[in-house]
Amino acid sequence: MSENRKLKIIVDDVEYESFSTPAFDKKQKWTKPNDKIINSIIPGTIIEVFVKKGDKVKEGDAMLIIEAMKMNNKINFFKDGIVDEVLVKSGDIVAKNQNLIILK
Amino acid sequence: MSTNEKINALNQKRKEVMLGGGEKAIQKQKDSGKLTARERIDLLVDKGSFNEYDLFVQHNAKDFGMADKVLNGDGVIIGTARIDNRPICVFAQDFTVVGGSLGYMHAMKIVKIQDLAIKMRVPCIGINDSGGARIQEGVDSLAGYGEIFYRNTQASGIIPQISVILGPCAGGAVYSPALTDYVFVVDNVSKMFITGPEVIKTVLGEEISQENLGGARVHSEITGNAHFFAHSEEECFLQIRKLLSFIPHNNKDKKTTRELEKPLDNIDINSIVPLDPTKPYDVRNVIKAISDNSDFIEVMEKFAQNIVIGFGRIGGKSVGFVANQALYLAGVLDVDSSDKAARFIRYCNAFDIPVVTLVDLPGYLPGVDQEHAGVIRHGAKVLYAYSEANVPKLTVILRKAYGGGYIAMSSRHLNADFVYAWPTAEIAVMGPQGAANIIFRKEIAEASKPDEMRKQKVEEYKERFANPYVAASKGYVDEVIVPDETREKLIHALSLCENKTIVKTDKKHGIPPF
Repeated sequence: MSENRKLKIIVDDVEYESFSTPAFDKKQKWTKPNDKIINSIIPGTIIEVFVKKGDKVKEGDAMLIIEAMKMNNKINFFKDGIVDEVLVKSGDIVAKNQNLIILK
Repeated sequence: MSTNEKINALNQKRKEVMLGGGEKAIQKQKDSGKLTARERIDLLVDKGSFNEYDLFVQHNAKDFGMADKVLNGDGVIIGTARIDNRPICVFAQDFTVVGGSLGYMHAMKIVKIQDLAIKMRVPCIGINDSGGARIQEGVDSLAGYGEIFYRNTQASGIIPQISVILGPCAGGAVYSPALTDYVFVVDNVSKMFITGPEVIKTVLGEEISQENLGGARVHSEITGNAHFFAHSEEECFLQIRKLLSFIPHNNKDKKTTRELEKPLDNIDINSIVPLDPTKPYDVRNVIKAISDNSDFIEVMEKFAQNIVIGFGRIGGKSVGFVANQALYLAGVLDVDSSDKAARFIRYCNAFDIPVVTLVDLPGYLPGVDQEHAGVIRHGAKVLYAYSEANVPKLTVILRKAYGGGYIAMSSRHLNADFVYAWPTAEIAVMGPQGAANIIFRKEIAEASKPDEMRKQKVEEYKERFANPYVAASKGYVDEVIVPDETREKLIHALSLCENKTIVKTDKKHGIPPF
C-alpha cells in the first residue's frame, strides 16, 4: 500500500476515498487529436520524404515512405493543406506517434 | 561386458548426462543468481520423488555443424514426481545446455510429459529458462513450439497447467505460459517479452532494460501476465505447493475437501466495513474472517488491485473468492479488473470450484481512457463469465451495489444460487447523490436554496433506497444477514449445492467477448 498514492475516485457525483494502482498511475490524460499534426502510426525508418515546406498538397498525395517490419509503407495525405513544417528526413528512425509533418 | 560392468556403464552415462552443460556452465548459472534445472525440480517436489524420462534423448539436427554436437538431454529435463504426496508432471528447461534453446527433440520431450499429464489427469508444471528457438534447427523449432501450444490448449480446463518463469522466456516461447492457467515469476530472475531490448533499441531507438521491459514486477503489476510474484525461487516453489493444495488436480477431482477448520478469532467481522460508503477498507479481512483457518491464497495480488481473486476454504471445501476491493480505485470495475475476474470465474467453473462473490462497488470506472480501452467489451466478460458459470454461485452484498456493477457481480439475475446482503448493503440503481440529482433536478433547480434542497433530496433518497430491503422485498436478495452469520450461511449453502443439477444443452461453446 505504501507504493500506492491516495486517490479520490468520482462515480455518479460521489467522491470515494481510495488508493491508486501501478497501472492507474501510468495512464495518460486524453487530449483531442490535432489533424494539422501528422504523426507516425508505426515505429520505423523514414526512407523518403516527398514534400517540403510551403508545398500545397491534396488529399491522396504522397507524403513519405516509412519502412517498418521489413515493409515500405507509402503514406499519403488524408486532407488538403499547405505544408508548414517537415520534421523528418530520410534515414531518421521514428517512434510511434512521433510528429512527422505539420500543416498550416 | 559383465552385468556389473553394464550397471557401472549406465551409472556413468547417467552422471555425464545429468551434468547438463557442464560445470563451467553450471557455475555461470549460479553466478547469475539462478538455481540449476535439477535443483529446481528437487526443491519443488517431494524429496526423492522425481522420476526422470528421456534422459538419453538426443537432437537430430544436421545443419550448421549440429550433427557432431552432443547436447545433454537436449536442454530439458522431464519427469513425474509427487507434491504433498500427489502425482504431478514436470519439465524444466536447462539453461546450461546451449541456453536452454528449444529444438525439435527438446520440444518432443515437453510434449511427451504434457501428453502424459493429460492422459493421467495430473497437473503439469513447466519451468521455463530458455533463450528461445534453436535457430540452427530452423522451422523444426517452430514446429516444436506449435506442438506445445496445441497441447496447452487441449489440456486447458482438464488439468491445472502451471508455468514458472525462471530466466528468460522470449519471442514465441512466451505463448506457452500465456496459454496456461498460472504464471509464476521471481523478482530479478524472470524475463518475458516478445521482442527484447536489443531489437527495440535497433528498430525504435528506445532504450530499456530487460527488467523494465518484462521483469517480474512489470508482469505482476502492469501487464497482468503473471499471477504469482515471489522474491526468491524457494518462495516461488512454496507458492506452487500452496496453490496445488487448494485447487483440484483435474476437472473431476473431488479431493480438495479437508477437515473443517474455524477462522482465526482475532477478526471482528461486524466492524470491518465502514458505514460511510465513501471510506475504504481491506476486503481481504472479510475473506479471512469467513475462511477456514483464515487461510487465503490471492491470485494476481498486484494487478488490478481493485478486485481481489483467490482461493480459500469454507467448511473444508475449496472455494474461489471474487471480491471488490474498496481499498483500490474504490473497488470499481474497469478494463483490467473485469478481465482478471472473468478469467478467474471461468477457471473456477471449469474445475467445479464454487464461486463466492463479495460485493461493494460504486459501478464502472468513468473516463475517456476506459471507454477507449474497451470497458464495454471487457466489462461484458464479467457478465458472461458469471452467467455462463454453473458451479455453485454464492453472493454476499457487503455495502454498495449500484447500477451495472450490481447486476454484474453475481446478482440473482445472472442466476446466483444464493444472494445474501448485510444490513449495511445499499442496493440501488445508482448512488444517492447521482440519483437525487437526476430525479429531483427540477425541484433542486427551482428551489430558493438549491444546495439545501439537494441535500434534503439526497437524504430522502438514501432513507428510502440505500438499503438492502427494497431488493429483499422483491426476492432479489434471499436473506439479510448479520455479518457474523455469513460463514454459517455459506457453509449451509455449499452443502445444499452439493448435488446442484446442471441442464446440459447441445451448445458447442458460447462466444464470450474476448
